[in-house]
Amino acid sequence: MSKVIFIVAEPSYIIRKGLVSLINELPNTLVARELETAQKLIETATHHGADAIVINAELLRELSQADRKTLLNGKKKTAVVTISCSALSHSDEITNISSSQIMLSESKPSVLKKIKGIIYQVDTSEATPENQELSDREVEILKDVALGLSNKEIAEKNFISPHTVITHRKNITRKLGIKTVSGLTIYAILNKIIGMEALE
Amino acid sequence: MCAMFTHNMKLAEVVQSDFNTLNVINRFGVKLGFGEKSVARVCADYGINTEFFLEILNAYHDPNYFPQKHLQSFSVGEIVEYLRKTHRSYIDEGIPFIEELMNRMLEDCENPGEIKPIVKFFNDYKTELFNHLHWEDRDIFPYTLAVEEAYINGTDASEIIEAMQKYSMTDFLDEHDDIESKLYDINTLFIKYVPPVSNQMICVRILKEFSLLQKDINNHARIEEKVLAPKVIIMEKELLQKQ
Repeated sequence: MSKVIFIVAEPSYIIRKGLVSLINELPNTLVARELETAQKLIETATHHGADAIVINAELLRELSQADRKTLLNGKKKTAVVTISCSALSHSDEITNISSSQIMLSESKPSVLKKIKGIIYQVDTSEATPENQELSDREVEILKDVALGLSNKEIAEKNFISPHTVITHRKNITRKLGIKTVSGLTIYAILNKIIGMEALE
Repeated sequence: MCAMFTHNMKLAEVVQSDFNTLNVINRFGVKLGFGEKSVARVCADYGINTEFFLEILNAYHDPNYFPQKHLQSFSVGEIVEYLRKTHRSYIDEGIPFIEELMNRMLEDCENPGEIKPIVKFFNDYKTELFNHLHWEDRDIFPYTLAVEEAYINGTDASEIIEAMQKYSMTDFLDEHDDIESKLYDINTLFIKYVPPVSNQMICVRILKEFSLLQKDINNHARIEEKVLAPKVIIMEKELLQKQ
C-alpha cells in the first residue's frame, strides 16, 4: 500500500508540529513538507504529489481564486483540511473547498478521526473489491490444489510453468486470506468448486 | 503502549489489566484467591522463579515485548516445564471446550451438512495438533533436556550426537509453522462461511475461543522457536565441537 502524502501549512510552530506528530501516529502516512506560509503551496503540493493538505484557514484565504481552482480541479484530487480557532460558517467560501475542518479546541481522538477520514477518502491504492475475487483461471488452479495435485502436476495439466502455478497460488492465498492446502480444500467445498466427496 | 508487569505489582492487578493472563498464571499452578499479594510474594509462596514468571507473563500480554535474550537465560528444564503445561492445557481444556461448542452448534443447526466441512477441518486439525504435541512431549523435549544435561555436566555425548544427526533442532525449526497457519485458516473460514445458525451466541463463543487459542499457540510457538530452539542449537554446536 502506498503512503498517503500530506502537506501541512500553518504559521504557528507549535500547532504545526502538533499536527505533524498526529499525522505521523497514523499508519501509512507521510508528511512530505511543512510550510509556514501559503506561498508556493500549490507548487509544493504538485511537486510532492500530495494527497491531502492540512492548512490554516487564514492561509487558505490568502490563496488566489486561480490557486483554489487548481486545488479543487487539479489533475490529482487533493483533500483540503482547514485548521481554525472556531467553526467556519457555511457561507464562508473556503468551507466549500475543505473536505474537513479541525478546530484548535478539539480533542486528540476527534482530530485523529478526521485525519483518518481523509486517509480513507483519498486512499485508492488498495485493490478494489472486484479484483479481490478469483479469476476463472485461478478457480481452475484452486480446484486442482484442493484436489491435492502438486505444483508440477497442475503445471502439466494446464500447460503452464510451475513458476506460473506458484504465482497463481500466491494470488489465491492473498485474495482469500487462506494459507494452507487443507484450508483451500474446505473453501472449495463450501463454494461448490469441488464436491464433498473430496473430503473422504 | 502496554505497561509492563513488575514483581511488586499485585497479582490481582495483573489479572485485572489483562484477563487472559489467567491462562498463563494457571499453568504455573497458581490458583485464584491471591488477595493483595504481590507477584513476588505469590511466586515465593508457590516456589516459582519470579523472573521467569514475569517474562512469560509480559511476553504473553504484549506481543511486541519479547525479551528473547533474557528468556534464553533460563534453563531448558524451566522452559520445557512451562511448555509441557501449555500442551496439557490445550489437550485437556482448550480444544475439548471448542469441540463441545462445535457439537452444540451442530445440534442446533437445521442443515448440518453445510457446516460439516468446517467441523471436519477442525477435527483434522485437532488430530494433527495432538500428534504434534505428543511428539514434542515424547521426543523433542526429552532430547533438549538431554542436550542440556550433557552440555552442563560434560557427560558422554555420543548418544546425543547420534540422535542429533538424525534430527536436530534446526530440522525442528524448519517444520514448525503449519500448525499456526491451519488454525488461522479455520478462523477465517469460520468467520466467512459458517451458515446462519439460530444460536449465534455459540458461534461468537467459538470464535472467541479460536482467537484465544490462536494467541496462545502463537505465543507458545514463539517460545519454542525463538527461545528453546536457538538455545539448544548453541549447545548442540558446542557438543559437536568438543567431540
